[in-house]
Amino acid sequence: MGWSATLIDGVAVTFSRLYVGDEFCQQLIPSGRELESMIELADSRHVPVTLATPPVTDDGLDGLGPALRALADRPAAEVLVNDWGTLRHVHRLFPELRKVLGRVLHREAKDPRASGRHATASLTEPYVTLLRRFGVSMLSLDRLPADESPLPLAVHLPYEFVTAGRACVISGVAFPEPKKFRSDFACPRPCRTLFLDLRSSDPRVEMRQKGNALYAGNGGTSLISSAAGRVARWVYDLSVDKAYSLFASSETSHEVESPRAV
Amino acid sequence: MKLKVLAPFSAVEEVEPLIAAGAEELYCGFVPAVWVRDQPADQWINRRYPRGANLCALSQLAESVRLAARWQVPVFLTVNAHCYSPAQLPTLMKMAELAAEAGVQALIVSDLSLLLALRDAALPIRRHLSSLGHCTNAEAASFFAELGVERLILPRGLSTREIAALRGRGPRPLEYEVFLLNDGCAYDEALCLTSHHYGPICLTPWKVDPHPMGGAKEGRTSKWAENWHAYQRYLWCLNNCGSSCGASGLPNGPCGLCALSALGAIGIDAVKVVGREASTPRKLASVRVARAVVERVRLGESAEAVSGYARELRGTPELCESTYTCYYR
Repeated sequence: MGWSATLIDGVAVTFSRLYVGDEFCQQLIPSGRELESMIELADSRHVPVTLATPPVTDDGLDGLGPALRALADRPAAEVLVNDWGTLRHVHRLFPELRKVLGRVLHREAKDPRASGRHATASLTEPYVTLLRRFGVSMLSLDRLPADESPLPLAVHLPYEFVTAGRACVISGVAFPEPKKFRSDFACPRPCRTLFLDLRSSDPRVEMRQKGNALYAGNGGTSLISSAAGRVARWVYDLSVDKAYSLFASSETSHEVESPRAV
Repeated sequence: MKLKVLAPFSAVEEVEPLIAAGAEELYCGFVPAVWVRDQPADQWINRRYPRGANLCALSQLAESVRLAARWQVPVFLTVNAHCYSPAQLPTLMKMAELAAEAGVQALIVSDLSLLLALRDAALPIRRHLSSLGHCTNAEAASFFAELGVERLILPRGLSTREIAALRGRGPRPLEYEVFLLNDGCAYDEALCLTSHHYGPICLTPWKVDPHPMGGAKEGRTSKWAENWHAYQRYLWCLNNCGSSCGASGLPNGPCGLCALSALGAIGIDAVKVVGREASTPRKLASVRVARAVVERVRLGESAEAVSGYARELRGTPELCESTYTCYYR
């Protein structure tokens, strides 16, 4: 069962879950209707849905309501949370929804200019107990962990999220000065049709700005072979990697646990 | 109405002059030698370079607290990296214990594991959530209050309307602190997982290739160059306008002075002057102007009069008109 497509390095893969929504920008929270249509699509391919949610203000949390309600009675539906308030809210009001801790909350130092070991949030016993108390069933990461994890891991490919912010350079293109680069505004979402590639004088630092977030390559599918069974789910982020389309179907020959698509 | 003026310091000698200039609360960093010796150079204890922006001896911290206490001014210590490794936590807990003994009134924390360890250790020291903890809604405020946090430092990216919504719905008696002066951030620092050890990534001189996709609105691509140019001006404003000063000697850069009336009406407890790494004259000038405008709010002057006074003190109408230096646009 799953959604077959030719994506990664020409290999045909089967996706077992569809991620929808956005992890970093509350302007991109899908309406209940938008989510319904994505659920319909996922149903037609027999895959469950994960709603990716960004850090939110009170308005943003209110805005998540219709999407959460649309998802609430779906089998195997999940919410990917990137805000402690969202986690508490979903735990209180939608306890049946599975919760995955997102990359904003499960922190790793990720500077593409750095070499050597990087800092990752300590999974101390009180912290893991807290996560379990709020029903978190999985942690999201961008890099392979050095240590064993007490919770299953979802690793994102082929880009790692490096930084994000509400004052968005791409949104600025839709506004005259001085109305550019604000945080509390209604965005016409120019990022739906524009992304940026950024290069510096350091050849290691090639980045992509998609929406309000900046990404760097994280090794892509080469991580899969070096994971040695430590990863429960691979999330292939098609919204950032523009090289592939989920709709280029082909026959199945290789299974990847889970894609990310919008 | 509180709006206490919170000021940064990085040397014992700055404590009393800052209080004389109007600081009502103080915060600082402290990086022990053992941290510099044992930890990777890019893993900072508190988001600022270990030397220059921080105290480097416990005796300096204790002396600073003692001097501030003469004026009933509390001192807070920032320990607010995004995350710490298991090997780093014992050093931080020892630091917290020593800080409590020295009379530091609160630790400014972001990392959840550290926050929980501090709660469980029941040290006699308050916990403030750093802006890096990224509390942007009332539900998150409740989450942190349940973990024993007593003050929230709200991130820069919230408007006064959003702050009012959060404060209105949020639990009480939590305290709320917001940014007032200096040091903007192009991205949200809570979401920025880079290290300034390599320089601010937002200031990288990028070569940018915009990629329009199917359905792009006519004209957007042609507007791109103008937009990128405007973005560079915006970054310059966030970066303290190239560390320049106005004619009055006041440092240029991100500013929320015009919003003080609104922040007071919302019930904000403290307003923060940023820049532990800044020079002493820069800190003093920032604190003086912050306190001067706060006093106008305390006297009950109208929002318009307060805003006009703030602009007059700044003396940079062109920057104020651009709004790129405004924290609360």
